[in-house]
Amino acid sequence: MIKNSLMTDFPISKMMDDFLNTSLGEVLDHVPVARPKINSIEHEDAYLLEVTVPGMNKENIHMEIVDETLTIQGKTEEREEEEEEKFFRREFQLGAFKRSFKLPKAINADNIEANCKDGILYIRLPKMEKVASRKTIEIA
Amino acid sequence: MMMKRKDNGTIHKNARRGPHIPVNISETTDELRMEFLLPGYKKDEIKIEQEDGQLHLSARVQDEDQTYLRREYLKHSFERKFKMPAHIDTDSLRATMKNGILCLLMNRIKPRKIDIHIQ
Repeated sequence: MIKNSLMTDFPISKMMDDFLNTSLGEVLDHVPVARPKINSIEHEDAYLLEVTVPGMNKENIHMEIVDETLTIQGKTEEREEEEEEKFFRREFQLGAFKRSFKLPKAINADNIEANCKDGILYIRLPKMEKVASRKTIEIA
Repeated sequence: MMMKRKDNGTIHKNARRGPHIPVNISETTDELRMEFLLPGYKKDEIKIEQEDGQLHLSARVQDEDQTYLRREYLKHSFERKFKMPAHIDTDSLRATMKNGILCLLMNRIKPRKIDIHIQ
């Protein structure tokens, strides 16, 4: 449910909890998949998301909005494992991911920007400009 | 081939304790490869030193001056040491970093065949 006040109408925590969390990668039992972690920051005119996407280029990441739902999908570049390659330690596994969430109405969805650097996807969600709702009326 | 545990697990007393940096270590006939998961780190923040078969990886990062609404990921200073086995040529170490993955490659020292001549 989206509340109307600008301060609380972007319930990021709730937004995170509403994620549809489908991991498409193969998961080995004892090896944690490097699942994307998300940080969120509020600026005066926009919200910023930082999504960890190690091993991905922007070509491997796909973002789209359908009916106010933002979906982010990504796939890591497969590194060819050589035949005789033996692993002595495997503390992480890269994979594919897909996360969706509904954008609150206070976001200007037409101006969402994203860029990818050093394994982090930065997403900028500009806030809808608040229209002045106060008018003074002159008495003739 | 059995390898002894390479990571002695010490964290430098000045390094901030945090979740440890995951590493994958694998070997082929020619080289040893170590890959570290470091999203958000820039290569200038990372220091790699090796001496006498000991590999020392560290990073010192400033704390972000930012107020977060939600923080699932934290970039932090760290330190991790590895004792390399004798058959790895640590001087041949080359490091590359792409999309938040740091990759270290080192050559394996091939066994030297010695011919015995009988006089």
